[in-house]
Amino acid sequence: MKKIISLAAAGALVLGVSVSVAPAANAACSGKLKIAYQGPLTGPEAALGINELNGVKFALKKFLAANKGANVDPVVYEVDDQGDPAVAGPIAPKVAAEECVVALVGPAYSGASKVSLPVYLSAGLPIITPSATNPTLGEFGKSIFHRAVLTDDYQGPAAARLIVSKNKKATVFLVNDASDYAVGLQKTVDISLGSRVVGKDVTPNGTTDFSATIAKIKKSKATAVFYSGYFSQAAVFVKQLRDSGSKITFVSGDGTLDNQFVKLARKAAEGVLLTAPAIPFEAASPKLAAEMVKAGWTPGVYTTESYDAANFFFDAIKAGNTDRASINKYVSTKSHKGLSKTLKFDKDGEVAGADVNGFIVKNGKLVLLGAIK
Amino acid sequence: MIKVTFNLRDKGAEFWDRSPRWRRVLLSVIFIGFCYALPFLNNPLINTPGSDFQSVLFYPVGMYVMMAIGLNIVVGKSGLLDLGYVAFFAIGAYTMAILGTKTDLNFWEILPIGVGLAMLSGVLLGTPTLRLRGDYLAIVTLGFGEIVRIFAVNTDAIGGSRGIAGIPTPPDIFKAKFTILDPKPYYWLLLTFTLLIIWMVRRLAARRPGRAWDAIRQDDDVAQLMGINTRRSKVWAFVLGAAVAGVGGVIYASQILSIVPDQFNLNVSILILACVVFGGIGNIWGVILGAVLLAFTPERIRFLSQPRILVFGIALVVMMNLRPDGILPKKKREHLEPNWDHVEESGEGEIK
Amino acid sequence: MDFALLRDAFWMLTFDGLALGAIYALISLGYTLVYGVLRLINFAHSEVFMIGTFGSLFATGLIGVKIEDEPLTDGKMVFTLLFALVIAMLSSAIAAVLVEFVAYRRLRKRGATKLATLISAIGVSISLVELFRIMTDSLPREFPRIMDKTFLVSYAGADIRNDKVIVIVAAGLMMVALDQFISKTRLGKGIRAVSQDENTATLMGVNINRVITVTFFAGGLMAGAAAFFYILVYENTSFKVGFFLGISAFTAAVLGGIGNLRGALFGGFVLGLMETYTSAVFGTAWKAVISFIILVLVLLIKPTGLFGESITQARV
Repeated sequence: MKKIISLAAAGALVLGVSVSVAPAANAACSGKLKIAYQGPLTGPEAALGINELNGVKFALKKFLAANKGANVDPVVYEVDDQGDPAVAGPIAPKVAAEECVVALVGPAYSGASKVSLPVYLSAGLPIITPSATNPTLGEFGKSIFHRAVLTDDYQGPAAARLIVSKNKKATVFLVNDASDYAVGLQKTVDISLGSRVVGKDVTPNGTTDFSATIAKIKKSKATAVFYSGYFSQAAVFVKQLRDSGSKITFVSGDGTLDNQFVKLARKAAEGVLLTAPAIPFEAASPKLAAEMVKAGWTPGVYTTESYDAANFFFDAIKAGNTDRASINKYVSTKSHKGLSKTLKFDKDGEVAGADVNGFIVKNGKLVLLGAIK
Repeated sequence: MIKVTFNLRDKGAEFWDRSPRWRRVLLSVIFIGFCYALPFLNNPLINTPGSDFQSVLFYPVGMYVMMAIGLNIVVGKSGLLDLGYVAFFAIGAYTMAILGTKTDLNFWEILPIGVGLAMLSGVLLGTPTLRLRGDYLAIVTLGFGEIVRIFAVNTDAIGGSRGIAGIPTPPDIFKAKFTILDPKPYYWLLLTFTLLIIWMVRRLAARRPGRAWDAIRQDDDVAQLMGINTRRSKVWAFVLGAAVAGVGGVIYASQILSIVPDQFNLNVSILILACVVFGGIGNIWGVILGAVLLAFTPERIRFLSQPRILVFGIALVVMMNLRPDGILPKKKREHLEPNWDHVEESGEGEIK
Repeated sequence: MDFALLRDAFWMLTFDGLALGAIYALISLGYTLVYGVLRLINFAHSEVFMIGTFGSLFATGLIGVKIEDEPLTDGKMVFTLLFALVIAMLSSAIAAVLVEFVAYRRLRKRGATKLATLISAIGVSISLVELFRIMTDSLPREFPRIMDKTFLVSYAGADIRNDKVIVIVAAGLMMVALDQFISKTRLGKGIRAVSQDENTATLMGVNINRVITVTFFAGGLMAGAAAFFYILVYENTSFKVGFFLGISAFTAAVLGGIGNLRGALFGGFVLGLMETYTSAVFGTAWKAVISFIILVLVLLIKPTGLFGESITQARV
């Protein structure tokens, strides 16, 4: 064995490479503190990640403008996991090993979170996710895990209440896009609606033709369809539904709450009801939204939540916390008055006292209906 | 057109053949030692900004190498075009995930089961379909890969699209502890299995099964006339390839701790095939080099951010155009496509 | 399993399936043409289709049709339809020829293996997808409504919609034109000759390079037409669209017998119908699984697809 090692060392020397041991995970940071964002920044899901990254960038810019002497790097440490667990695998340890990254906004997606969170837990890196809504994530991240949105356990029942409040005799057809998020959300809607559910279909992401699903919906005589999935496919679906002559009420969740949905579905989007534990940036603060657009970043779905999450971390840094452990303690115990809501995490890292909001598409705009009672 | 006369593969083989035994042993030991020491290299040329170098060595680099070696048995040695190779990887990973979370079997007990199931599915897929010719086989295997994925997505009993989380890590071996933060033991485990597989494949290739595959690849009908049971040889190639992917799947699941069906999509099959062809189909060293390059490059150029995959795609086209037989081609050029023989040199044979 | 739905909505599903099948058929012609001549699966063909959808988008932008506009009428509508169709066909055709030039030509001249060419084509496919992803910010793109969508007739529960009728009829015409081109013209004869026997064709004075270019061009034209019809019916596109439809169209080509034009046509319609029926009976999630199982069964009985291979059926 010894021989092998010495030979290997010799081989390495011959090749002119230096041998050194990787840095330990939790060494102190000697330079400027960094705040990281993790989510899909390239690949097919990039739109959502870029929305959130913009929120973090904008928060950082405002923080540095207000606190000139702050020891914080003006560049957000971007972690692109493409929303893909396989990609997140090799990236997360790298982030954990960067001593100066003291806080992370994200990961955006539940799948990538499941892979990344155990790594961050070992490294003590505090995270606030602005958009991963899978209820089980707390088990993966334990003490470092915080979530700025309500989980699907809240959104599903709220969506059910919204549907029934519009039509006391509503019967519902459920469609999901087979993604992790969509299946989880649909399950909670399904339970809340109970016997009102008259049919179901699964249209995997990438379905382009919904003819058969539409035939099923028509045959079921449902008065509403709840689509759980993301905006691009929701737009394709609702358009085909309307083109087939159906006037059924179309309801969907936070994956669809995006101006892109209205833009894509145009007239077919009119009257569509949406639910989300999130609030659009424009609705939360028109003034800041305008300022943000001026600075060159477009707000989108979950920009508000990532903006709030980043600001909570900046509060912690402003209060004199400069390492992962103390920042984690700060966000776990203190509260932050954000744009979307007051962030105050319970012992599982979940946010309390927040609402699920209802929205309707009117004249090509997303209109906030207010909290769903 | 300039004819590439310098063939690295031939030179390498020549050097190896001429070397005395002591030199072969020494070179092997140095090479293997170097591979085991790789996680400790911290060289700016090869480290990966944006992702953890040691993790990258395990996945994608090590994993692609192993799978490319496995696929090379199918595509490179016996000439069967398999576009659904990821299915066997998925079966291995799912076996580890299901048995690891539902029973108290440990990694070492699940490994043979995972490999066995991957091989069994290889038999089930191979027996009826391997009588199809090249391109038809390609679409059927592609379909099989998609079916396995869609089945996993739509079956709630195995987690549906949520996949399976909380997969146990392998038990410690002496001082090597398998934990989420330290990918090194996983890399060494993978490397050990890879070396074993290389050894096994080289043995097989030099013996009767390897010669049977050679014959089938060159001419199926003639091979049959020569008394080779082509059907059985093909199924064997398929099953061995499946076994290698099964090993990879089991190890992968035990490291990543949580798997979702969408990880096992068509792109993985295509990328692994690209590794095989890119490096030099049929030549195991070429295949390894191809897999290392194709797995490593996207991580190395992660700083390019947006155009990263675009650069990767272009590099693939340029390299294939410059070296159609791969970086380290096989010793002897064969033509899988006899129709093209006459345009081989420059296309000047045509009459205008 | 919901066989009652299939019974009750049979004609509606059949009509929708035919419209979808027409688009598959047009795309699969490209796979089949290239296969007939080169004996290669053109993995970049799905991206040729994708480029066609963006070509139609570009065309409507060129003549100033805006997303918010009301559906066009009369002469302007007809002109826009035709203009977008032609531009889509041309952009796909040019893309196909470029694909051949970049991914295939040099490799073919060097006598590279089939697999090397396959990887080269995959490289082109990856590059094109990524290029369009970056250009579109990973977002889908919407298409203006050129024509008002109305129901022409209702028969046995089937609402026959005008745009889908156009697609089915126009696709049929395209395929007749292609068939005529292949069987009647000089270039078409060249394609047939090369697909029968490349060596002999060369000896008989056929310019192989030109034949191959024409083949890719013709396949591109068909894919471009499919792209326009797709965007007319579904009114959206994204960089991923080629991948989604490409696999189905490729399956259709194999089902009919790759290399055989009528096979591709037939395979396209059969697959469109099959996908729609199985979605109704087993749920949309399982449609790809059922399609593949049927494909395998067909191949086990007829190993070269329903119609056998080869453009001229000379090589059965």
